[in-house]
Amino acid sequence: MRLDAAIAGLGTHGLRRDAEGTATDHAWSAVRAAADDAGLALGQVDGLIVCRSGGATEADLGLELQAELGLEDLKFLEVALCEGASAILAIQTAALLVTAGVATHVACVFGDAPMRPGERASAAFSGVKGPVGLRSLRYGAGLFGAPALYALACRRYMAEYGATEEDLAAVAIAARAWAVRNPSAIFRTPLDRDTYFNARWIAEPLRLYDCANPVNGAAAVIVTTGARAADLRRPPVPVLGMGQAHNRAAMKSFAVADLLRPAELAAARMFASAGLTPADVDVLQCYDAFSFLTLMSLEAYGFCPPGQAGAMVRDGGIGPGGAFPVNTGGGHLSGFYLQGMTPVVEAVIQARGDGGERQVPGIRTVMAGNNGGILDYHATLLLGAAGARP
Amino acid sequence: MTAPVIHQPDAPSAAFFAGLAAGRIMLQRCGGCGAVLLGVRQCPSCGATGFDAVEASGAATIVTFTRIHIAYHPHFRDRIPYAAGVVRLAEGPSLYCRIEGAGAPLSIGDRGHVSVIDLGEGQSGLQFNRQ
Repeated sequence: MRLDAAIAGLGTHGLRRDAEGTATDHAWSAVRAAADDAGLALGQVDGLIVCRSGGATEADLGLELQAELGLEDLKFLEVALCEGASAILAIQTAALLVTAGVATHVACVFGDAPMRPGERASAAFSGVKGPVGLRSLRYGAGLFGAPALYALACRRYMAEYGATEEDLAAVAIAARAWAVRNPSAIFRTPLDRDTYFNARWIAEPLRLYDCANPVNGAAAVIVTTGARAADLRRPPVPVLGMGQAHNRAAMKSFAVADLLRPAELAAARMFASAGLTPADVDVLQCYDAFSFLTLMSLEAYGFCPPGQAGAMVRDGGIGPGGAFPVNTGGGHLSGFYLQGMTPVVEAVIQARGDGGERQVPGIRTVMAGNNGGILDYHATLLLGAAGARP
Repeated sequence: MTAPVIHQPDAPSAAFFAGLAAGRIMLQRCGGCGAVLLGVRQCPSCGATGFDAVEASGAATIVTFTRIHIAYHPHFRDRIPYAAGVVRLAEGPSLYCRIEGAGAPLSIGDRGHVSVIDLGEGQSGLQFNRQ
């Protein structure tokens, strides 16, 4: 069966660093905005896939969103949970649903509200998550939160593949340079090398600017068939290809080959499904909750050989005006951290040509990548330029 | 001392946590092929589901490590910055551990010994002391 799916609507809400709003508050607004963007009445949405972050509960955001939105009859409803990979996972499911005719207009939404009143940003996502079994040894060791475990992966990656602190700095500086050009980005003050290196450590080898900051907010897209999307308000953004890979070897070995494997396989499957290669990708939106993930993504997706991402990112290679634009909205690092939805939002904006000051001219394809767990779960999406025939 | 975690053993870790409470590091030896494992329900090599308990020597090497600069839990408030990471036991399995390097910079591959430490509230954890 040939995939027949396009993104017809995009909506965001919140994207705030204060403790305003619940995850459901933001998700409700984002779905309404996405339907409106597509030119759909909310009641025309007949499929809903809800995503939330790993620390959130069904009470924060879940199946109840259907009732909150007043959607009385859905042909498909699901809470999709795959950590940071949930958003693209949901869009892939939606693409299959509309291709198969199970539903016509499927809303996929991710909402989050990790910032809580009276708490520091570092308190978000850093609590004990289900201290069951051997994995709970991490807490006794003092490895709380994502930065600690990603720092362990980063250390291995730098040691085995030769990435340097300068490479990490280049990624953070490029993300900030894009964010300066994005009115929706959280951090828009230019970042220079001295500021990067003078910032405090979080979990070595990760410094402050190597880590994303939590926000409260939500993003949603409407997925429909290419033909249906062509009748809607905005030019459809076609889904050209998609892939997933899930592999739990990484945390057992910490060998870089294992750390990269889910991303490699998910990209290879996406390119195979699209009949395209990395050379056909004009812009990449990858999962950069931590700076080194951009380096790993460039290598795992096939944009450069293993260990060569440093050469790509140095001297502004992935920044504005660079040879290969990456995370053109500022990514997680400087844009906003809505987990898997951050790359999707910017991919749709670029595919539509809506990027304003940061728009990359002449785009034919945009790739988005999602990474969940600690490099355990991976999902990828290849989008075509809006209005182009897939 | 407030423990940073109250461990909840599951089937594949029950023998390990029972051993930990007694100050020992207990691993699983596959009844099918003899592979030494930890925290598994079936042997990844031969698929067997029966295991004997076998005690680790404690000898280990650093697989990866970090130094944490934020106290995410009161237990660590007076300890930051502190090193922690993953070490591989001589018998094969890897574990999350605190790491003590006695002042000198740590490196991947450094050798040392893992011991059981008291975390308070009846909980035990692991600490790697670099040689």
